[in-house]
Amino acid sequence: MIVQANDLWKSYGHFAAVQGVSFAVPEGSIFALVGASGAGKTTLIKLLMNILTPSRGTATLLGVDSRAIGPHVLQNIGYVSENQELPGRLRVGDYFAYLRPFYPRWDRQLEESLRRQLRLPGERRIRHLSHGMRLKMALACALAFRPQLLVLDEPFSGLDALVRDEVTEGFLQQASGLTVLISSHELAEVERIATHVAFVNAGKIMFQGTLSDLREHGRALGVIASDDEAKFGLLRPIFVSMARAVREPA
Amino acid sequence: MIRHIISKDWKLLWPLVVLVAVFQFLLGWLSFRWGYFGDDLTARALYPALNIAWYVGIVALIVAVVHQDAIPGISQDWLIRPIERGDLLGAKLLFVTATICVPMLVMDLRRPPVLLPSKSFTCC
Repeated sequence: MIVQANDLWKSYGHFAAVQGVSFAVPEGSIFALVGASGAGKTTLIKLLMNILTPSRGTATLLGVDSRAIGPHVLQNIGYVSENQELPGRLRVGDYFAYLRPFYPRWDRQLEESLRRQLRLPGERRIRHLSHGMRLKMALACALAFRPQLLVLDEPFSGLDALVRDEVTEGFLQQASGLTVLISSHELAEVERIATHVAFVNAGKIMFQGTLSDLREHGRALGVIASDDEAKFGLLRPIFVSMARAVREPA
Repeated sequence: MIRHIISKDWKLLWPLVVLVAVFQFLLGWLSFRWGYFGDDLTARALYPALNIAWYVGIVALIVAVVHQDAIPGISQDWLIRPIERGDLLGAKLLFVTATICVPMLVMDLRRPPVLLPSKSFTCC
């Protein structure tokens, strides 16, 4: 297993953001953590990356205890987060040049190919890039050193459909054979790339398994409404009873 | 690795470094104009203000260089990069030494032996 979490807890005072989470990410899989905003996905990823310290429990990444992750392990982990703070006054080209020496396995050809494919302007300052461009740049930086594990924290958040497709395509082309841990608040976003999925709610994992397991265990409900029905709230009682049925299955 | 961190900080902060160095050069020049008995009125008028500006510049530069890779927070880029904490600390210390202390030393060595207010006869 590339990532293994065992009974992970993270508490802030009386509030437990992560409550006894256990899961395992097999090698070569694309493992999606799916859950609503505030469910604890980002906290969980930060615990795994040793950015936060767990209150209880243990985790291992690439066979190393998460609390002992240092530069040698980080040389093999690519990380992209929607709220990553980048040196805004640095030019894109300079940022790549800055990162290169830190990664012994940095592949210049792959970097050039990713920069061309994602159309990253080398002369532009990072602070002048759009949100989508920043994410594309962070993704290129995370892939250019051919990491063993790629961790993506809400990589598609705030992207329009076109950029999202472009990022997904760029990512998929490079992700073959790579182990990926990705968090998202929309299942539809990760459905076409994930091989494994775990649903996170209120800091707990409610379900985990392969995508085919999910399809076997889950049920799809489709509702088609006209504008008038939606406008006058006629569908509200139906949604309420659907939610009740999900909470209290027969 | 220290070299790469310093190089990155230089690319980001060179305008501030140049500004502080200019202040320092001007202070040296004013102290030269000051003369033995503070005859130059322009130098007497400008020196205190420029001295304060220089101190403010030094503080701003130190704060800026530390904030390029800030310690508090959980979103900083350096947290997920293979950077040794010792290297980061060393790079910041070296940057401050190279951009503040070295020019200060150079100006002190080149400064003619004039009597500044703090070294006037009245304090002896």
